[in-house]
Amino acid sequence: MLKRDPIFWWATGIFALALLLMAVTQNQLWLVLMIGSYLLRPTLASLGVARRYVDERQMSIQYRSGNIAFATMIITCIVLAIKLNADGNPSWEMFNVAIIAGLATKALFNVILVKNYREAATKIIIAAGLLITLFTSMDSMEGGPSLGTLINVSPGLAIVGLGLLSKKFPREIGGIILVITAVLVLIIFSKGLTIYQVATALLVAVPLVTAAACLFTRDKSEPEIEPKEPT
Amino acid sequence: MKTHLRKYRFERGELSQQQLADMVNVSRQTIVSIERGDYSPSVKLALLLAKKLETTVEELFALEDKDYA
Repeated sequence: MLKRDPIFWWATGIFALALLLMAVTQNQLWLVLMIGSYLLRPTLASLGVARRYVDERQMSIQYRSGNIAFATMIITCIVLAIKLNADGNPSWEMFNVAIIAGLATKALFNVILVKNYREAATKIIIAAGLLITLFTSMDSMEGGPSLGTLINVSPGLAIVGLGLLSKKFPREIGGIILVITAVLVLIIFSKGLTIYQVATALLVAVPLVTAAACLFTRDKSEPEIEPKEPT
Repeated sequence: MKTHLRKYRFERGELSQQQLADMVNVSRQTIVSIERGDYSPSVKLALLLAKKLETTVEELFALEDKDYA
């Protein structure tokens, strides 16, 4: 039986809009909007919105099927990327972006949803720093290791260091991370404004800004209290 | 996990699965799954069910030997 709550009507509206836009523009691409109507309820519930419209058993089924679907999509992306690469088509990197975006989002929410925000921030900054170090070293190692390589990887290593320091000076490091993020985004866009640059900027900026925001929040985690010895 | 939800549902005014589902704001299918033992409810839902059926969680649900394995 269909539950006629506000989410049902929003989903129906999105579905009807997809059909209407396709009819008006004669472009079948609008039909992808229908996916939005299908995913609206589980997405809102996963984000903690409109929980009263969600059945807990259905959500537990959604979480399990979502994880299986995620793994399937990653495998499909890998297969398609390999196929395009073998054909000499450079657009295989688009699938790489999709894979990294999916994995980064999953990893980001895995630490944030624990709700120990400052601890999450430290993990995010260190992981982001290590990934930046990895990618910059891969880019600059083509002619063998050199002083240039060391200079190129130093921002990533500096971010790792800031991640370690964020445990002791959360707010100060939060501010520094925001400044560094702005500089990194400017450097990325100085190389051009292609889809790859936008994707790279998002992959760098979203986790770091999220981590900085986490560092400014009050940590909810409490120290473990040992039970007193009976007297 | 063993459940006595069905028994208490009938003892408390012969409630239908849909009526009980509406009282605790879940779908009828969730009540069906709990009664069949296919789904273990959250602590919150278990407490809500117990409250609506005027009993305790321990009366509604019990662990079986295989649950300890």
